[in-house]
Amino acid sequence: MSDWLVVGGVTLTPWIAGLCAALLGWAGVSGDRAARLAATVVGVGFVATIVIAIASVAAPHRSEQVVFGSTSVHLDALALILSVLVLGLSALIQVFAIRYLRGDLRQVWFVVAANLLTGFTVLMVCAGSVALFTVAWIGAGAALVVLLATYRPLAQARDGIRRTGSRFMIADIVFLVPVAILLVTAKGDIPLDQLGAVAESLPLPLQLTCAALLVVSALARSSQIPFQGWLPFTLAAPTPVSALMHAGVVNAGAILLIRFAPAIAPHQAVMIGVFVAGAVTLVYASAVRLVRPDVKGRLVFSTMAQMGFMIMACGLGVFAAAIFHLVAHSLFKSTLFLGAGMGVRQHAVDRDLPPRENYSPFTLAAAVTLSVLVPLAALSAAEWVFSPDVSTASTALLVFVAVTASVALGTALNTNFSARTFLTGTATIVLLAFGYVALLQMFTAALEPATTINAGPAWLLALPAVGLIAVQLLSRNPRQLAHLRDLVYTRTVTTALPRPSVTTGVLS
Amino acid sequence: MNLILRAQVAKAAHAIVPSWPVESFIAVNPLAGHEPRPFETAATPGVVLTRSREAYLADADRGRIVDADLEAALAERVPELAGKLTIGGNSVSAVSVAVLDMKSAQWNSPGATEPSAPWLDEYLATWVSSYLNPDPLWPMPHKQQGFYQAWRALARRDPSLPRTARRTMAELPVEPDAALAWALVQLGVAAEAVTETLRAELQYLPGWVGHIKWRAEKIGDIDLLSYLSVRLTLQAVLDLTPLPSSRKPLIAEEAQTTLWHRAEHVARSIGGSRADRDDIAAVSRVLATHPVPDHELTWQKAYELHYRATLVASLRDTDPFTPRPQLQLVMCIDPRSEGMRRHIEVPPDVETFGFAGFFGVPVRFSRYRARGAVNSLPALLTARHHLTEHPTDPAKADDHIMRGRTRDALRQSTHRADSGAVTPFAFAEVSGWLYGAISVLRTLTPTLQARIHRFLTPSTAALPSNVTIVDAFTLEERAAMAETAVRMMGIGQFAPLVVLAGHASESMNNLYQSALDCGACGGNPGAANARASAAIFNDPDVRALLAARGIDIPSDSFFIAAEHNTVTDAVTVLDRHLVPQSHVHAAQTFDRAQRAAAGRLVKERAQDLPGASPHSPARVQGRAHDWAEVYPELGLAGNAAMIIGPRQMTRGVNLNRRVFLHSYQTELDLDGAALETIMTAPLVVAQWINHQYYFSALNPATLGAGTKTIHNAIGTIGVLAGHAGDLRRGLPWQSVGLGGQLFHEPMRLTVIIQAPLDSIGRIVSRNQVLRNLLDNDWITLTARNDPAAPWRRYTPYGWTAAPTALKGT
Amino acid sequence: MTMTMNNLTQMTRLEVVVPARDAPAIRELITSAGATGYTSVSGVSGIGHHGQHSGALLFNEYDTLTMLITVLPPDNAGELIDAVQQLLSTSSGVMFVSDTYVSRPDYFQ
Repeated sequence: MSDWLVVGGVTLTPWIAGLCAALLGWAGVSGDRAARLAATVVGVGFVATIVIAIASVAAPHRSEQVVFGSTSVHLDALALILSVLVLGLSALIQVFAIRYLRGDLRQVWFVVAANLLTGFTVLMVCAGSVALFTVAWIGAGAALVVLLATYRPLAQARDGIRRTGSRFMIADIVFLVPVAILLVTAKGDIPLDQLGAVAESLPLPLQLTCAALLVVSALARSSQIPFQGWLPFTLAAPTPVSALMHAGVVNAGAILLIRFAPAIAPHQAVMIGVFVAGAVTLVYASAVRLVRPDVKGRLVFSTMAQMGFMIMACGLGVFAAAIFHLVAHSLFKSTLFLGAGMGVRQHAVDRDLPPRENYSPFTLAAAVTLSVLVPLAALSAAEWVFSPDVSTASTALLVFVAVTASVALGTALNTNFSARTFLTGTATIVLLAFGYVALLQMFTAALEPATTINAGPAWLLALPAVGLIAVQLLSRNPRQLAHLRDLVYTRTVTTALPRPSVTTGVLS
Repeated sequence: MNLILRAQVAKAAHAIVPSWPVESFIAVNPLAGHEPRPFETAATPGVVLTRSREAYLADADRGRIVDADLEAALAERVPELAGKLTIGGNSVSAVSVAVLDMKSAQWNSPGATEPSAPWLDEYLATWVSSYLNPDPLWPMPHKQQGFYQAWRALARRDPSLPRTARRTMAELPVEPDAALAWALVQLGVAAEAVTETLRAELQYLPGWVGHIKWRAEKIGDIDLLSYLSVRLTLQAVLDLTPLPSSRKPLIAEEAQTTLWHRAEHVARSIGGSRADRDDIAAVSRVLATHPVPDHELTWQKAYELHYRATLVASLRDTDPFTPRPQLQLVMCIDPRSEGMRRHIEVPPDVETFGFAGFFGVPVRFSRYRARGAVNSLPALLTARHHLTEHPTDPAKADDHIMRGRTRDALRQSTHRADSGAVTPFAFAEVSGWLYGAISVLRTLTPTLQARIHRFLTPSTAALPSNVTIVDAFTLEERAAMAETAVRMMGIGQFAPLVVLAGHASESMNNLYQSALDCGACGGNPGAANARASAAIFNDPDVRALLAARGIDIPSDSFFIAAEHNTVTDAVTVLDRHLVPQSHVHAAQTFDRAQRAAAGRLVKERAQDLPGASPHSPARVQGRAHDWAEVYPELGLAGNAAMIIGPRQMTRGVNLNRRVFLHSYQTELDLDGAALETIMTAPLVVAQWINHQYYFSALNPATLGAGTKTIHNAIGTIGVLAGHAGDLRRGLPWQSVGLGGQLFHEPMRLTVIIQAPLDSIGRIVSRNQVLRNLLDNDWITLTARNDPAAPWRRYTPYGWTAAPTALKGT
Repeated sequence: MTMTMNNLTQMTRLEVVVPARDAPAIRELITSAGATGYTSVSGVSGIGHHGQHSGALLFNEYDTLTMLITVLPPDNAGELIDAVQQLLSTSSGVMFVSDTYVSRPDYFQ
């Protein structure tokens, strides 16, 4: 009985919220009331989930589940972490939207669709069996399309719906094939912890096919190449929709990869495929982002690149790191989206700052040295304290962190070489480094899947790294590579443009 | 250089209204190019001039427009409608027949449509925005060579264009002039059709085209010649014939009710079955003078007349009072000042004035050792004087600079980490948690978040300093500015404390924040100008010169600057360190008075502000820090009139924050020079604002910026709606409406002046801008010589009696 | 180039009076024509085809008239004259063209 309560507390609130909002909207009550009620209900769900999560940390070996035959809702660590994230962000964004969409004729639509999406997403992360996951997965995709229809009267919004809907439909059909094969083999639903056994019972070619098809649908949901053509066209929906989408839905690819890891991870070829798709998207989206002039366009391509990073991490088999990235990026990107109107104010603040000083080469050299040494020292110390033994892939990812911290500190010291800046910067880096390593360690301990992983080799990371460095160099407009630079620049500028229709000159 | 072609481009662009960037939003009449012609001819495809028939009929039902308004409007628009006629034995006036017809005849507004986005527009919008990208992470290669040249160098590497086109592009002329000439020939445009073709091409992407026109004049990195070169060259290369205007022409969607049917309907409604064929014929002769296509503007006129008559009737005729006031408050003419003035004027010894919010001090202003500056002056002027600050305490100033540098360093480092190619991944991973926490604070407790933010990063305004008026202006210039201000405002005597309050709006996450700031300061906060003006008035040398010119400022009069925050309604005294001991008490009295006034005003505003309640004024004020708030305040919504005259006309009258108030006293302006300045500057700015609201309200999809919720900023240049398309023009929907309803009543500006009619007439006749606006019905003018004289209405043929107050709401 | 009285050189002088908001276009033409400079007088008053025009307005430089004066060699003037004529053919504004004599022709080339 208490399991029922607990599982219901986590998974049901968005449904209740959405239903209430729909009923209120149908009864003609103001959108404001509906939005407030829904946000409160989801907020309660969020608090309940936090309490449950804390309780489960206190008693780690007993995870709640509700079972109907082989179908189950199962609150393992991953489910709890992601439910906290999804419910928290959904509640936060809904509170934001109470004011942001005040008076909007489509406010109730937004509230209902947002809760539908939240409900399916929570169900998806908590699904304990293949069939339930599949239902939730397809439902979340459909709910996203409904959410994108918030401003359906706008032509751009309809274009976005068409692009998203068609890609999701293809990907979902592709997804249903391996699911059907697995379910038929098992003659019924498969609890996720038995997925590996069922998959292994298949002949190897079929195993590979299933793994590859599963990956394809994960890539589509996370807007990875070759399915990148929907996310950039979804901006004709109100900002909270984008925030919710970039914080939630696009992450689903990694969740699928992790939940279906027993069927995917044993095949190194497939894992390398996952890695390559992520890496290519990462480099492509990073380049496009650099040329986009619009703030939301930059955020979209930044998300796409970040999702590439996450998918790439999955390909390397460091699933816990991927989830960690997913959570942090969700918080990061939703904040940036909701604050997408800050540009003018920030510009005004910058205008009042004092002019920058020019420093001697000696000072600059000192700045560079400090900015390399401090992050290295901070990260090594943190590693030594929290997790003395780490995998190669994790170390490789740590290099990214170290480089980033060096760039940040170096930039700060180059802008203003002073004790105040150095101390503030160093304190921030030490704090963040320790926090990061400690949190990552917790995630790894809680999430590492118990399955065979034949991951891509860690040295593969060199490929996207080289790609990113090349993009960074090209963006400095070097004279030596003028031809290549012009080519890449032009290609990235026109990437979101349709081709001209020469006969009429009008895009139909 | 092809000068003829350049002239043709300039000619084609003549009617295009330059549009300012959103960071210094300047309200403009988007149809200003039509001002030399009658208002009713300004409708273009996709643009309506009036509301819908249903909206007017609903107003008629609720008494917002009464029959007398319609009759007055008809009398103005159709003077030949006079006399009576007999229908079925009933004698009725021709005007009332026309009124009946207006209520029954059907017409449809064309309805504002969403702009279409042909491929060519989308392509050009992409290239223009990439070229102008104000904060590029990857600057466009070849950018320094100009727009056409950069495009020419890059586009031939664009794989989305056909191979043959790319080959042709490699051989295009290097100069934009030559390319445009080549393209025109290639497209088979005849020499005499060039200007017309160019004009037609400039109809597309009106947002970007308007911005390019502004940019060509103010910045110079792009011009319409190079824009048109790209546009037409591409069409030539791809062999696209210039499209005949793809916008649908204005067509009546349904067949108009025929004249006879209209007449029959009206005749039957008057005479019932007794109305015969002759009666119907008589009615149809009357109705022929007011055809259905004219109805919408008659309705609009009636809608405006109702407001004007009510407003004029509410004005007072009392004589000025004489005892010396204890406090004078000068505020901007902005309608929002009206509320504050009304609430602070409760004690009789408080006097308020309205004056352009830049206080007659046009400057380019930068904060102490700041790296940037703003043009804090009306868009009608060019910046010639640079004002900055001089700190009073060197130690504090050093600390301030140190903090500023550290802040800069941290901002720059987060920016670099977030915007590089390699670093954003780990940056998001490590700092996302912090961002999440900020997000929670900002959403759940915006006021607390603002307090934390202020504690961590004190604002530049906190550094005590003086503005450098002596460096910016000569003594003669300062004295002249002070004299002009006194004569324009008509201040006859000076109180011991004179507060000059500029205004600014505070909001978060609002790309249109500048549209809420002071329009007279170029869409910037007005504090700097108020501080400069106060310093000028306190300058003993200036006072000596003023005394020689007949303006005596008593030595016990002290001027202080203040800033009115239009979201919280706090009027904060600035430069408090300058207040002499003798005036500290007066300043404190002012603080108390303004706090009480703010309390009342916020409650009053809460009644109109969407989602606000008069019972929680703190929440209204909290909108200043709320990043989720799309209605931080209502700005100038509702603006409908401008009154130029002494405050005695309006003191104690609730004008509902809808009226621009410029103080003026004929006695202090014997030659009419001040009146001419008022009529050619503040009035013109008020008219720009009025028409910006008017057209943004009526055409949210084409002349307005549409809903804020899908806005996507291009740096500080402007916004797109969604992921691509044209730069949006005008004000967002949240400035004029809520849900599907307008809260801004779109009415053309009613100008009311109390001054000698012949000097007003003289000023109008020698200023083409005023003749254009008045003779073509873009604005109206009602005036009287003095409080005892009757109100007269300006017409191109002379002054005529103004309609008097009418019943209704 | 004609040399005439007192070793002065003949040049062509253009005076254009236009609404201030149209002045940038004229200025652009003048510079594009290769003139080495121009004089701009803002707030000129007078009476003309469009009625009376008051002079300088204190707070409005935008709705006044501006006079632009430039001097350039007769050979270069033709195209500029045609261009300005083209521009003024539909908007308000006047152009006066006259011969003038300058002492330092190199300043104007």
